[in-house]
Amino acid sequence: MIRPSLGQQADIAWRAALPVGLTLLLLFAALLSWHLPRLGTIASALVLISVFFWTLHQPGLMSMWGVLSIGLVHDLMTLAPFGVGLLVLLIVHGVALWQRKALNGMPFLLIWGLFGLVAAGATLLTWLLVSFLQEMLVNPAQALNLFLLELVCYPPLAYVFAWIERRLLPTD
Amino acid sequence: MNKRMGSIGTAAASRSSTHRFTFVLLVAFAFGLMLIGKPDSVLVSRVRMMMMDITAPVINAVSRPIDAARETASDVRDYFALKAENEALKRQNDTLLEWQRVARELQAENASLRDLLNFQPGPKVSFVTASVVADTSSSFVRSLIVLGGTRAGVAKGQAAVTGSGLAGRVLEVGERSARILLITDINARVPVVAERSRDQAVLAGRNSDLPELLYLSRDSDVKIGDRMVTSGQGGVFPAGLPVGEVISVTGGHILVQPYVDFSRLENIRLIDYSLPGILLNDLGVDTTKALSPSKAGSITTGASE
Repeated sequence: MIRPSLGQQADIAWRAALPVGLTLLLLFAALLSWHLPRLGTIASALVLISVFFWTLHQPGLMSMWGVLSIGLVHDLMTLAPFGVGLLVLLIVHGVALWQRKALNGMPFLLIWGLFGLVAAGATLLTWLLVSFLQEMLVNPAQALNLFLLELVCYPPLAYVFAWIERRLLPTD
Repeated sequence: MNKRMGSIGTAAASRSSTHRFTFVLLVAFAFGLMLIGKPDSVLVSRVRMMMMDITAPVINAVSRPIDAARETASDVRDYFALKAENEALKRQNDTLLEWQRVARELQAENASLRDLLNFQPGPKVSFVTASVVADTSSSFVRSLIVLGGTRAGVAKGQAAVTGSGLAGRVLEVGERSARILLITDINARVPVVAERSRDQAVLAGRNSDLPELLYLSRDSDVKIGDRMVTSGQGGVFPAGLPVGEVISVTGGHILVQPYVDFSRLENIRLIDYSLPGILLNDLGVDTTKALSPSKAGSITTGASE
């Protein structure tokens, strides 16, 4: 067996870290103060989409430990009740992993539809948990807003992620 | 051969069940975090501050080129609007000069009346100006991170204001950064008073752009267009800070449009109200340098050391 050189090892390592690293990068990029109205909600949406996409396409590179670190950073950076983002991301990861085989080779519209269902469930769960932890009913319009944002952002992000996957990642 | 396949199958099954078990453990862990991390937990707050302290300078550095690009774009826009703006400014200048005259008169009158009454002036207020580095608002939270923490004299509970009015208050402070809870957040409560009718109320955030007035007395006379200012009750905010304008009164719900445009916050002034003078004298940081709201540079911990 030939041992890979140091350069090759580094190459493999950064490619392997790409999905989780990219998700964290998106999270931080969305938190920058862009001074654009209503951009605040986008961080959670981007993270959810990224976790779903990479779990579906590269489950080896978006492991539950990766999701754990993304969830923790997300919850520490945003002020949302601690643990809620992590729990929701873990559940999304679990569902994507479970449906992965069934969705293999399916048309994009169907995957988008399933993502819609997952996102709806995730948003509803977030809304319930936040309402429960803050001991008051949070405005449901905010949850709807988040869900629509996730739904709309999925196709363009999935397109970019798929491009990155084709160009930079080894086939599964 | 079959036996061997069987053992591989068993190994895979046991791996998958370990995987499942770990996953369930992680979900349980997340639940546990939720329970310990109920919003007022000290531990979570401390970890959050550490995280904020580490990331705020990085985020600030990354956002520099973005800010530069945005400024260049607005410079180009400004250049084309120069003539019209100049005329408008000249007109405004005339009005302001008139206001200045009135203010001087009032100041003199005020001084002489205070003299007559033997009035004890309130404590002097000091400021720290900090730049906004991250907007950590989400669907369920409205908050910002500013670059300026305990080293610059920022303390929990200080009022965060801009030139146009009250933006929020300091919720958590790290060494180099602080988190501001905006008045639009669902947990924000600001004691306010209507400038015209002197009706007292509490302004409660709703996680939307328009907070609501609560606990108004039944015979109150609040109308659309009324200015709401802080009442100073509760001691968190000084009295008289402009907060917003009533824009809708429907079926017992009174909504207020804050004066601060939250999407365009770049610098924020943090007012120390309860500890007069301590910022300047005891912490070795000259906060008076940052007093002018027009100063774009702003005090940051890095600059003040």
